[in-house]
Amino acid sequence: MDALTNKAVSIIVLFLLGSTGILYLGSTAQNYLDMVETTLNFDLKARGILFDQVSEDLAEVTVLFLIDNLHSKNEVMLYTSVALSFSLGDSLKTGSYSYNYSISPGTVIVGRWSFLLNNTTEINTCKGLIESKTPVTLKMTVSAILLEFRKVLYVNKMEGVEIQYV
Amino acid sequence: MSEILLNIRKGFWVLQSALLVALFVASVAVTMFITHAYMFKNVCTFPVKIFGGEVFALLVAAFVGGLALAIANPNYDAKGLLGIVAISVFLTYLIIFAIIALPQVVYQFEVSADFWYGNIGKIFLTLPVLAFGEFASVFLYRVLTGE
Repeated sequence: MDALTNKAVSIIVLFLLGSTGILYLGSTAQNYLDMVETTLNFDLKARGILFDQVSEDLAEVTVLFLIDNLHSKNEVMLYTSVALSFSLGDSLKTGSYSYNYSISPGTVIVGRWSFLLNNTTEINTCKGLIESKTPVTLKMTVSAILLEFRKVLYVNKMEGVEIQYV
Repeated sequence: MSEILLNIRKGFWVLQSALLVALFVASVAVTMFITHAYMFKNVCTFPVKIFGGEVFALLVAAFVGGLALAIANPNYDAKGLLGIVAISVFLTYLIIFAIIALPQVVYQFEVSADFWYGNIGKIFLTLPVLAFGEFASVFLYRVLTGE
């Protein structure tokens, strides 16, 4: 190969490799930034705990919360499940919630977890908390899967929430 | 004076070719880094997978990159080419670090030390693959062309 041909081939090969690299790096960096922005903004918020007394020894408690994916970017889809717990007097109430569909960017999902109280002591504890306006500490963990990036994202939160009558 | 200018031009060409090849190889390698080797704030990774498709992709990219370096720098002996490959590999890792540090610069948040330990550890895992791929293709090119 003479020097001139060699130079031309070199320039073409390097130009192709370099431009491919720049384009691919650019798109990868953008995806990466989108994913990081999603993880930074993704949140779980308590909305309230509702108390509904059905009869003297039966009541339903409903915990409402928001899975907030409002500020995520582009097509970073999330698959989530939420674990919740709080103490009611001496007993610990635990539950979970699973949203069966992917959560698209710019969406807020309202989740609810309900359980029945069939114990008068617990019902009375609940009423006492409502009347004294004492908040219970709700512990929440949401785990989300960012499929495209093969990552698991966790948000752990504790919020004081007042119980209210329905 | 003209000899100095000629040397500067040669040096510039070497750096330019090493940088362009580094950009190409880093574009493949950075995917591997981003998907497997970082941890910040509340995001955890799945276990690092080091013998997956990414390693093969990295090997192929390094081979192509090494070939391009050998074609672009025909006037250097084996020792000189090794130096050029080393420069290219070094630039590749600089680019990778620049990309993985980008979110911290853009969003101004701090990451734990594990984040960087994880990435430095990953470099030790990928370095043999990258360096081997580039060196092998350089020598293969030289043997096949008989230059």
